[in-house]
Parts: sequence; C-alpha cells; structure tokens
Amino acid sequence: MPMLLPAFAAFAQTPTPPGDRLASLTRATTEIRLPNGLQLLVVERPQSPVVAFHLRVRAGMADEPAGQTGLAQLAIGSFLQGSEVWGSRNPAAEKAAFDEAEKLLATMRAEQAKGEQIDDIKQGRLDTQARLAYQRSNEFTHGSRFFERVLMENGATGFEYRAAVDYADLAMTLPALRSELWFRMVGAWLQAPSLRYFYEDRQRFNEPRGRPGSQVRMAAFGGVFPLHPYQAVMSDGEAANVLSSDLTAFMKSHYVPANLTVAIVGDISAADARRWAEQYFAKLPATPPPTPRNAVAPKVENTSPARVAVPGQWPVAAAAWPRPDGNSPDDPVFDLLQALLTAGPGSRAHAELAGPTPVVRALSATARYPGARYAALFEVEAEPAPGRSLDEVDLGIQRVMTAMKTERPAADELTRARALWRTRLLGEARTAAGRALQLVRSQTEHGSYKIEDRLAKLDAVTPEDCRRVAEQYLSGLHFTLFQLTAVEGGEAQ
Amino acid sequence: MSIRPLPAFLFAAAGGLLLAQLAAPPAKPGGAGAAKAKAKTVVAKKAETSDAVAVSGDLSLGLRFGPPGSRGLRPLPAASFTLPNGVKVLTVENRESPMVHLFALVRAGAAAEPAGKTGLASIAARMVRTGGTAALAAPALEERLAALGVTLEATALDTRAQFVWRAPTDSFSDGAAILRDMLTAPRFDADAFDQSHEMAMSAVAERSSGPGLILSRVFREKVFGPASALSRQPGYDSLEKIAHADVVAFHRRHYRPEGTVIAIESDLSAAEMKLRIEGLFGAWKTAESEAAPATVEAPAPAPSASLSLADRAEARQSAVVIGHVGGRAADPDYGAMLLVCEMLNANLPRRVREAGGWRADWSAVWEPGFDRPGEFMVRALVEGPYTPQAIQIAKDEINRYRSGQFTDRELEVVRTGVLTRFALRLQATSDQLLERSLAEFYGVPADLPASTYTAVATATRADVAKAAAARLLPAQTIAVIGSASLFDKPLTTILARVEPIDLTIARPTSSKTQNDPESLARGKEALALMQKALGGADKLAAVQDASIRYEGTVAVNGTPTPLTVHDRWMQGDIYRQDQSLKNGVPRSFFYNGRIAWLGVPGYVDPMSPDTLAQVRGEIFRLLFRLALSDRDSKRQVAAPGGNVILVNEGDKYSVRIHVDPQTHLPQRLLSRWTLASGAVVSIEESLSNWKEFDGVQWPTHIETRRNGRKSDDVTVVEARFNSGLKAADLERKP
Repeated sequence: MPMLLPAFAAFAQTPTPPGDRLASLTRATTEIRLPNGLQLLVVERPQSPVVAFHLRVRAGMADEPAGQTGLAQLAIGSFLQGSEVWGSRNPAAEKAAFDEAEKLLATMRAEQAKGEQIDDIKQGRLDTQARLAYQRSNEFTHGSRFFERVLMENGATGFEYRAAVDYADLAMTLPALRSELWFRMVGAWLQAPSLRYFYEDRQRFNEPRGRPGSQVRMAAFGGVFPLHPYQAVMSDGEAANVLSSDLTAFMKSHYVPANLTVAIVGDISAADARRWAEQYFAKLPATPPPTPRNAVAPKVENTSPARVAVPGQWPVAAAAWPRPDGNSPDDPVFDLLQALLTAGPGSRAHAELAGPTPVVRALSATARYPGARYAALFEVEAEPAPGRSLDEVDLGIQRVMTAMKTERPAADELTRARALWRTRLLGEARTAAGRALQLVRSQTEHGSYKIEDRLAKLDAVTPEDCRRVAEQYLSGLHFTLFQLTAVEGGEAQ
Repeated sequence: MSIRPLPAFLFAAAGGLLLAQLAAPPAKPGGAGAAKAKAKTVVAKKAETSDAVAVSGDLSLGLRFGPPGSRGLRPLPAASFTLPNGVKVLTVENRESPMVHLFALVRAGAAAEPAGKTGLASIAARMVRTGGTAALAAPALEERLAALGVTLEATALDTRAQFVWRAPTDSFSDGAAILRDMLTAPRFDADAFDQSHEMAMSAVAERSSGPGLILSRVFREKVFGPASALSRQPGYDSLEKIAHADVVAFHRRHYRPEGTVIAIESDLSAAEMKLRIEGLFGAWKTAESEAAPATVEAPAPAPSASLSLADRAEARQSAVVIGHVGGRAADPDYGAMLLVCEMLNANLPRRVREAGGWRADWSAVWEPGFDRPGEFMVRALVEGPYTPQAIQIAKDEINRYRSGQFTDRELEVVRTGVLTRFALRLQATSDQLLERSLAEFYGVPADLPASTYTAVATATRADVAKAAAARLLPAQTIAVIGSASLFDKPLTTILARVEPIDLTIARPTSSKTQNDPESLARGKEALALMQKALGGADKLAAVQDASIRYEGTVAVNGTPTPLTVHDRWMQGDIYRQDQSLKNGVPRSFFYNGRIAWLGVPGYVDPMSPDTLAQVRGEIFRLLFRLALSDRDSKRQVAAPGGNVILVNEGDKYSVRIHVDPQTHLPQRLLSRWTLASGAVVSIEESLSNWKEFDGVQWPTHIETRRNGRKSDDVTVVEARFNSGLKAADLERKP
C-alpha cells in the first residue's frame, strides 16, 4: 500500500495535548441556562470592542412539514421584519388589517377548492379586497425589513441568516456598546414574531436555498431516504404554497427556548449577558420542543449504480454508505475516516487514486451528508482522470474502502488526520464570530460545547476503531453509486 | 367536462410577482424624532414594554448607548525583549486557547532588491517557504508540517517579507524550529527555484489581464514614480535576470537577525516563551555582509493632475481610479481621513442616484503606509457611457469635503460603522499582535491602533474638515479603462490632456543561455544521453514522419473539456494538427513553412500570427527534433546544471528541458513565446509513462500548464513513426 511513506514514519510520534491545556477553552466560557431551558454560552474577549452573536435554532429544512418547503428559511428570515411591536406604527391596527386579508384569502382558497364551480367574479372581488387589506396593514409599518435597517444604523457587520438541513442560524457582530440591542431585538422577535411583508418574503425565498448539492445529486440520493426527514430536503420545492398560518405554527412549535442555543463572544461581561438574557428571554414560555421525527434508517436497496446523464457535466462517481446519526459513539471515527481518506496528498484515496498514474482528477469525502441529526450517509465522490472510465473510478473507490476495512491505519496516518482536526478546531476559534459558530456547532452537533471533549474523542479513536467502523458501515453490501456522465449534444461550458 | 384555467389571482401561488410590485417602498430611515412624533398618535393594546410603541420606529429600539467609541481597544499586554543577535521579540500570553500564532517580519522586501532584479524578493520568500531546509527536503518538510498541524504563509511586500505561522501549542517547538531552519538554513532546491521563477513569469502575463491590476499599476506609477519599490512590478526582463545564485545571495544579505521582529501569541507564560525563543532563534548568526537598505524613499506628491486612458473597445463598463498620495498610519489625522473616505462611500451612490440612477459601484480608501506615505483612492466600476459623469461626480464630492461642506449628521452616520470595522479588523489578539509587531518593525508608536480608534471616535466636524482640506489634493491622478466610443462626452472635458495607457509588457528576451564553454560542452553531453534514452541518435534522425493521436481534456474557460488530437509531421516541416473538442466543431491547423491555415469543415482561414507562433513552437519542441538540436547550427545547447538542458534558436525559440537524472528522459519542457499584444505565454509540459513506438521512446501521458494553470491533460492512444504519410493528406482542407 502506498500510504506508508518512509519520510513520514520518523515523525509518527506527536505528543497528545495535555487535557489541561485544552480545558482552558472551556474555562474561558460561561454557560448560562435560563429556567425556560434557553442556553447561552459566553466568552469574554475584552481586547476589541465588538461582540459576535450566534443564535442557532433546531429548525432546519428537515423539520419542514410535508409540502411546506421553504418554511425554515422563512422562519429565520422573519427576523428581518422585526417583531409585532418593533417596526409597527400601530401593532393592533396592523394585525387587524393583516388578519382581515388572511380571512379573505382563506375564503378565496375555500372557493378555489370547489374546482370547476369557481365564481370568477367573486374571486376577483375577494382578491381586490385582500390586496387592499394587505396594503392597509403595510401602511401601519415602518417599512419592510425594519430590523435590517436597525442593524445598519447600529454598525452591525457579518449579518447572516440561513436555514440549513438540520438547523437555522442567525449571526451578526455588533459594537460592544450596543450589545443590549441584540437581546432586545431577538427577545422581542422570539416573543412575538411578525408576519408583515410575508408575501414579499415568500416570493424572495421561493428559490430553493441551501439545498444539499445539485439537483442531480439530490435526485440520485433522494431514494435512499424513504420515510426519513431528509427525504424532503433532497428535492426542490416551492415556498409558494406556504401559508402565513404555517409559519406561525412552525415558529410556535420550533422556536422554543429548549430548541435554541446562543453563543456570544467578545467585549461583553458574562454578568451583563446574564442580566440581559434574563430581562429579554426569561419571559419566553418553556414550551417543550417537538419530539424528534421518526427516521427510518437510510436504505440502499440496489447495489447497481444509478446513472444520471447530465449534459455538459464532467462525469462524477459517488459512493455512499448509510451511517448512524451524530450522537453515535462512532461519530468521531467517521470524521477521522474522512481525513484519512481524502485530506491532503498523503491521504489514502489520494495516494491510491490520484498518484502518478491517476484514476481520478478530483476527490472528496463528506462524513455527514446531508446532515447528522438523523441517520445519514458517508459519501465519497470522485471525477475520473482523462482517459479513465467511471467504472475504473468505482473500482478504485471500492479498492480503497476494502483496504480501509482490512488494514488498520498506520500511526502516522492517524496522527496527521488528528492534527488536521486539531488545527482546524483551534484555528476557527481565532475570530469572535468563528468561536461563536464553533460553540453552537459543538453544542448542537456533538452534544457538548467543550471542544476538548470532541478532541478527546478524536484522540481516543484507535486504528482498530477505524478498521471496525469501515467494516461495519462502509462495506460493499451497502454500496450505492451514482454517476453523472456527459451526454452527446450537451453544451460544454 | 372542461377544466377551466384558474384566474391568476394575487395571492395564488403564482401571484407573488404582482404583489412584489405593489409592495410599499421601504420607509426612509428618517430621524428617530420624526418617527417618534408620528408613533405617539397611535394607541397600542399589545406592547412588550411600556415605551416600545412610542418609539417602535426608532432605529435604536428605545435604547441609549454611550457615545460611539467610548469603549475602545484595550492596550495589548505584550512583553518584549531583544536577543543578543538583534532579533526583537514580542510575546503575548492568551490563556483562552492552546494555539500559537507567530509572525516573523524580515527586512527582505522589494525595496532591498538590487537594481533591475524586480521580483527577486517574492521569489526568495516563496523559496524560503517551499524550497526545503538543510535538514528536510521539500516534500518531507510539507508532510512534517501537516503532521504537526502547522499552517505557514510567506509573502514579500515592499519593505518586508512576512511569515505567518500557526499551530497548536504542543507543536510549537518542533514547528517553530522548522520555520527557524527555513529562515536561517534554507535548502533552495533547484526545482523549487524553477517553480518559483515560473510562477513569477506567469504572474507577469496575468498582470495585464485584470482591469483592477492594470489600474493599480498605472496609478502607482503615476503617484510614486515608476522606479519606486511601491510601484515597480516584475517584468519578463527583470525576472530573466534573476538566477538561482541571486536568491542565495539575496537571502544571505537580507534574511538576517538584526531588524527582524518575531511576535508570538500563546497560552505559555511569558517566561517560558522567552526561554523557548532564546533556544530557537538565539543561535541565528548575523551575516558578515553589510546591512541592507530596507526603506523606500518617500514619494513626492505628483506635481500635476493627470488623466490616463486604456481604450478597450470591448469594455461595456469602465473601471476608474481617482486619487493621489496618501498619508502615514502615525499621522494624527489618519482617523479623520478614515471618516472622510467613509462619507465618500456613503454619499457617492446617493449622488449617482440623483444624477439619474445609472449603475456605479464605488469604494474610497485611505490606505496608510508605515515608513512612507500610502495612497488615497476612489475606485469605481461604472456603465460605459456615464464614465465622464462618474469622474466628475467623484471630483465634486471630493471637493465638497476639501472645502468643508458637509454636515454633522453626515459625519455621525458613518462614525459607528468606521469604528466597528476598525475594531473588527483587530478583533483577535493575534490581529492586534501583528499590528503591534508592525509598529515595532517600522518604529512607530506601539499604541497606534488604540489611538487611531480614539481619534475616529472623537474627531469633531472641524477636525475632519481640517484634515480633508490638508490631505485631499487638487492635483489628482485619474486612470480609466473603458471604451472611449461609449462615453457620452470626451474625457478632455475633465482634463485637457488624456494620456494613453500602454498595456504592452516588454517581451522577454530568450532564456539566458549560459554561454560559457563548460556549459555548452555539458549541454552536448546531456543531449547525447537524452538521444540515447529516446532510442538513439540514428533512430531519431531516421524519423521521416510521425503520426500521434491523443485523447484527454483541455481547459475551456477553466472547465476540463474532453478532446481528441491528431498530430502529423513530415520531414520538411510539414505539420498538421486535427482537434476535436467535445461538442465543438473539429478544427485543423496546417503549416508547411510557406502556407499556414486554420480550418473548420468547409472553410479555411489564414492562420493568425499568434497561432502561427504557437505552431512553430510545437514543431520546435517535437522531441525527436529537439533531441537532435546539436546537429542544427542555428541552435545553441547548454546545461547550466541541475539536470537542465537549455535549447534556443536565436531570440525566437527557447526551451528549458528538465531531464530525469536516472533515465535521461525529458521530464518537463518549459517554453515561452510572445503574443502580438506583448503578453507572454508560458507552457510547461510534464511528460510521463514512456513507451516505445517503432523504436522511438514517446511519453504517453502529457500534462500541460499554461501560465501556471493546468490546461491540457492527454494520453497517447496511438503513435506511429515512418508509416509513410503523404503530404497530400496533410494538405487536404477539411
């Protein structure tokens, strides 16, 4: 096997970091838990007068009820519009007009449901009335995207909001002096989100965003998730059918304290953070979070590759194996396997397939596709080198995986894979926003905000663990493959 | 039963577009007071806080904050000491994370380059980083760094070379020792030199492609003068003059301990770090040679206004830069100028909206220098016709600040944003440490960031007006890339004299062949070995024709696209190449010394000079002919060392052949030619998987890099020699 590199062997021994040193990250972090279940993680970094805030909600695309694609993005994006009060000139009047429009729309939908007996004239009248009522509700606002203007006025930077597969995130950095603004904005929004400009937002979020890969990839893997929360995530849908009542219901059930994790990093004292958290978040009702959805483990029924022809596309071969969710004790092993396989020129798949006589020209592995809150996939994909066929790539991947489950990785391989993760995890904590993201990610995806816990788990993985997990999960029996091939007549870009 | 289509109603699934048009325009973010007054008339039943409704349009949400900047940057708790050899060391203890950040600043920037060898500092920095150390050859070194979790970047700037090193604390001593070895005992492999040199050559060609890069170059040449280290850029001529020995000499002279600053942030105590640093860098010996000049001469402001234009007929948009020499980071009015630029950024788009709302993107910067003045620039990307208007708007707007005609409100609107961005740029302790080490390196006050922050926070309207009046100059340098035929009025309405920008780059002379007799003799010797490896000189000389078919990919706009190629050559230099790109029209190239055409089915065109140059190069590089270059009196063959053979034919062709020291087969061919525009194309072909065809060795895998980027990757599917090709077949038009 080519992975034994003589020049490397001499340096196989790298000291393991003493636990005490890593624990300093945790010592610098204050955990605040409110009685309603809301968790806040605070790191004081008084050096520079800015504070990074990161809110993560356990409400991603996988949580969208059937047929309500786009809801997760609409929910996190509703922050921009403010709260029932903030951004409104007259909350009561605004709400009354909005509700009237909604009532007219409900009548319209009921009429439409009658099918062929639709009364066009009545529909037209309802439409005009609804439109006027909606316009009237907008007249009571301070304009669209009120909180976005608040952020601009107050010097916020790095503002991001995004719903991904498992979670929705809201992140920003504010001048330290204006930290309280974040608590006031987010507290008011969570307490009473506003539906104003719902129809414009629905239009805006109509394009599928943050979908896990291209349409082809989703189509190829979609069948692997029958009766699984990721099934809907694997296809495009339109937000056009989402109703404002759907959004209200979704936020009521998912945007609850126990489903929220907040990280705050920067020039703010833990005492201030606690005081403001109590002032602005304590009133949120301690509604229990929705029970996790049932997930039937992804199933690969057919070992023959699915071939999808895409005009003008470079061919890609992808192999995927079902893996357990992120809470599995084997989760860190998958991370190391990913690094062992494809991180850097010395990694196994690179050495074996992209060496001097290459079978592939590009190669990557994803440990958790499309997410990890539920049982998911471990995916390897590769593009054939010129003159090589997809079947050769397929065979090459199988060869590497077979070696994975028969031979334990050498000590130097494992050392390098661990070093990669350690540097990556420690490096991303450098900036305030990076550390805030890391805290919520570690907490939500690995069950502990303590990075040293994760690193200890990675360090505890033995060469035999790697072999065992490869054998148990990444074996040929569960092998699935899709291949994108260029077809005649397509336009090469 | 017929199904009637549903009317397209506003709120039906498809009706959103209509609605979007109906949407009320966003309310103006007017003063908080106005919003409050309106809101007071409203009675709300549901309020989160008693005063919330009254101020519900208040962009501070009813909160009152301290004055902007009243919470500043904290002083960095750095300890400093100087090693006996002159290395200045700064250490900061940060217990939060077991990670070490290390910066090494060396007085080995472009200002230290000998005359005519522009680009040497960058090549040297790249080689220090990637060329191995005395103890470890380059590949082993990269693996060692990966195992230690070290990331390391090296750059050469005008007056310094900068190394940024990061790793977990446990890897500190081992990983920093590698950096120490790079700085003090680099290996400088010949291969690493070739790669660094080639990358620098490729960068020259790329420099002439992006409008942004062209504008910066022209702007700096005007502002700082063409010879300044701040403006001069490596050209083919300067790079051609740089040899391996120059890098070694540059390193010996300029990578020296005195004047070097090393700064470290770690979770180790200051005392322990001091011990470790003394152990690591204490033995770095001062070089015998004289100390190097490390500073650049301060440029005088350009005496008069100028306007330069690169007229590009195809440009729909114009790229514009307007500005002049700027100031230093330690100037007391630096903070005020940051505010001026931010006001420009806030107001230029508004002025364009008022002028009719065409498209223009603006950015105004006050980029200070440490040891010399920096630059003031307003950049714009603007729809072609409005170019002159945009320039006029920028000039007017700059003038408005110069003459102090701006309001307190304008200033206050931008202050918070400037402060946040400033603080954000220095948010990590390591960011501040780098700033602090730059202060140490250039001898400016250590508390500069904190005092600048305070200056931004406290500058009054009068302060800012005074700074603007003093710093914004009437004599501006303006440079434009755009299509003059699109402009709605001539640029001469702005300035009477418009100078053309010369975009051609001095073409490279041929590779410097070492003309000494020894090198020439070695060249003959090396070539003889190569001839033998390829099948023997006689066998090569007997090749009357060759037909080779390739399959593989070529990068089309960066995307590898499958193609097949058929190359045919006959004695008398008759050459034809047929290409078939996936989904493209097949193309044929033909040349017989007199006639040259490029054809597609049913149609041929005379070959352009650029394509012809390329075809002649292909013929020149045909291996069986290249290997017999010693039999051609027009050609010169030399071997400067390092398994390299140089072949050139006057100024027209030159190829640098890297030979495998064991097999004597060529591994890489480096060649260059100049396009009509003056831009140079550099080609690097990697040859591998040798097989014998009709007694001749031929590579069956060829990977080509064009200007440093991967372009073709082909395998040979058929190679035939002396198969009896007919000239008529080669001449046949497609």
